[in-house]
Amino acid sequence: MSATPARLLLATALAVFAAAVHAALGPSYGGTLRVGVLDLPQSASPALPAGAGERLLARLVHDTLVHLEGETPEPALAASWTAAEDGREWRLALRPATFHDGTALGARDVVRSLRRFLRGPSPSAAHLAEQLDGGAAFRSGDASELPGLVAGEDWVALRFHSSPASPLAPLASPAAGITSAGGSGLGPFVPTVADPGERFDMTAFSAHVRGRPFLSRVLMLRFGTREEAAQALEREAVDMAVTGRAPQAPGSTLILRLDPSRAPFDRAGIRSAIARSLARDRIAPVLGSSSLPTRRLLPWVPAAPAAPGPLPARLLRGRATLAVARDVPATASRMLVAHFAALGLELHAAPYPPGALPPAPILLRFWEPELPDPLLAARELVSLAPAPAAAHRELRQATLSADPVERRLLLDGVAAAVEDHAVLIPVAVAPLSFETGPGVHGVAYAGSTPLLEDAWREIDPDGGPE
Amino acid sequence: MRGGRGYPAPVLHCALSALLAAAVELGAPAALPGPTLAGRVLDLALVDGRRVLALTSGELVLLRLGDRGLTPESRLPLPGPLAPVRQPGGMIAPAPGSAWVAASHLASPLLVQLDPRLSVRSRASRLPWSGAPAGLAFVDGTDLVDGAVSGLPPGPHLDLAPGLALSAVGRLLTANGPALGLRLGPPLSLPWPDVVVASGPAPPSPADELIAVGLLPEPHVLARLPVPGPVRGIVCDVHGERATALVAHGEPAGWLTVPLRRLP
Repeated sequence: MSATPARLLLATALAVFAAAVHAALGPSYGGTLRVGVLDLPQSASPALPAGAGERLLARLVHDTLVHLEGETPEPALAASWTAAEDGREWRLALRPATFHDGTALGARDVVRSLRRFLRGPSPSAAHLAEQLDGGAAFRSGDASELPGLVAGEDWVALRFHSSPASPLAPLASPAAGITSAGGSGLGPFVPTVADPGERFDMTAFSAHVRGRPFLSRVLMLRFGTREEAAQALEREAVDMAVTGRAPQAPGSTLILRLDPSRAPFDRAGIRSAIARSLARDRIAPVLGSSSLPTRRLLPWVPAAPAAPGPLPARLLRGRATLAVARDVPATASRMLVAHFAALGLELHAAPYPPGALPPAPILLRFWEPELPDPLLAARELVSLAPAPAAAHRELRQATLSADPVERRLLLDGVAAAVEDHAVLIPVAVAPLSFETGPGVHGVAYAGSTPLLEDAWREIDPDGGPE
Repeated sequence: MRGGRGYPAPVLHCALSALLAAAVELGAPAALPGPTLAGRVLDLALVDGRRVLALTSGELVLLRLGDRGLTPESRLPLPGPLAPVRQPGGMIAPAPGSAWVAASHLASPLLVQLDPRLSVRSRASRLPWSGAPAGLAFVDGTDLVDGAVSGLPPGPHLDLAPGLALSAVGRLLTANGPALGLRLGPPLSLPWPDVVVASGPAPPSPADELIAVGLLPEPHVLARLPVPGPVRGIVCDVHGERATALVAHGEPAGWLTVPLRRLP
């Protein structure tokens, strides 16, 4: 081929591909990712996460027997499982894995970790304990034996007193992270330096069960508000931050919680009038472009917006405190304060850290179910605030139902009963989304929690010594 | 990685000193039929006249390069247990009648005999490499390769070719130090002593590019060619002033041939 036609061909090819020419430098090993969050725990031990930051930290440091893909358990530290005894016994085979302290994962580690989980505050743990043989007595502390949890050489078995719905889903709770006897985790990153509640520094775990992560280091930093975190991202003080601005499926519900033990919220009629009057369509946009107004509590139930009802003047009177979780944008709480002022109640907004439960008569917070399992979420819902008897009754029936369709209908009924009770008032569904800066790749999501195992960043060759 | 011909460092140095700046043309790529390989291509090497040894994340395959495409002659699954590595790296160092093979998820480098079929002849703790008295090894759990190579800055590196390395951030390293203002993606292939062919430096996407770089007097881009998939392996078959680059791209690998010609 002569040079000229070849050059023409090359020029044509370049023109055709010009818009799509990208290449293959990466994923790259190395680099630090700085993540801005609004909440960090006091310790990196497995616990019920209070907010997006704690969920992220749990997934970085710890791993669980199963992960949930939607509602379906997927293998994690458990490589596989089998059911026997009509679904009353589940045996999970463990994958070979190593803890951060160098010890090998064994069935005794799993049993010790799950016993800790079962006595903790997680709603999923409460559900699992109720189903396991001897679980209720163990959870309450009345017994130290737990016949429903058995260890083999490289397997563990769960024995239930009846065939439960969602038998393995609770094991995906961040609070069910498996630790060594010394308390080490086996997640992709090893915590090295911590300023509890403010900062966690982690390095890549080279012996991670799915391989060393690409990033060499993850640094989590706490910010006071979403706005501060977003500003830090804009000035490149962090590489990733929880801002709520990134388009993502809603994973949490902004809820207003009224204390039904205090007047005037002890009157169902007043609570319902407040719920009907909320201008949800004006509040939702301030939570991010993907947010939607809703009258439904579960974030994955299609949002059900409706025009606000009449604003009943002088429905309320006096003054009260509105406790506002720190991850709620200030604009949203100001709109609520203005709304209650129009109803006759003067509110003083007081921020509180995610996870705390301040004794305020009105509370504004995001709620994301511990796990995306309908049964476990419904159970959690009735534990968030006093629920009507109908909700408890339908939850009991759903737990016992072997028919998935009937169970789903009963669970919808649980949510509807809690919504009608108007102690928990849904305002909007919103993503608690993380936003990444330029050059960050490979961030996946489990629900609204980013997974940084496969994340990597482009490293500036002129940014320092190679 | 590495390229079609191995040039010992002293020979390379003399050749480089004697040559003027090269001009190279990349011709139109042509798709080449080839077998489906298990896993991602980690490295390619020309082992004799018309045969190519392909190392993937799952196997070693000896391919005959014919007019109708690539035909597998022999296959050898990588011996386990394989370590969990998110993105393994691999290197082939051809030797007479055999080849040293290393991968970051393999327990140790293997000396593989080519004929009558691929078989493991022995193992070593590190990959023998010209100019690296202590050999090379992958940094645990990564695709980065480390080892002191005479005349080159210290690693870890994304790839090595005779007298050259690609740093962890895609900077071309020569005996004269890093080539400033020029970034490339792995692998590196040397069709001529003064020309290297590599992939592009952007993050992976459905398309990639081949970049020919002249090394003298300073590294500089000679030509670019779009490739419809992330480049995973390049090996050059050289005949005088002409060469054919065999390119593995995407996963499972698709194959391309690209004619290269030195211009007067």
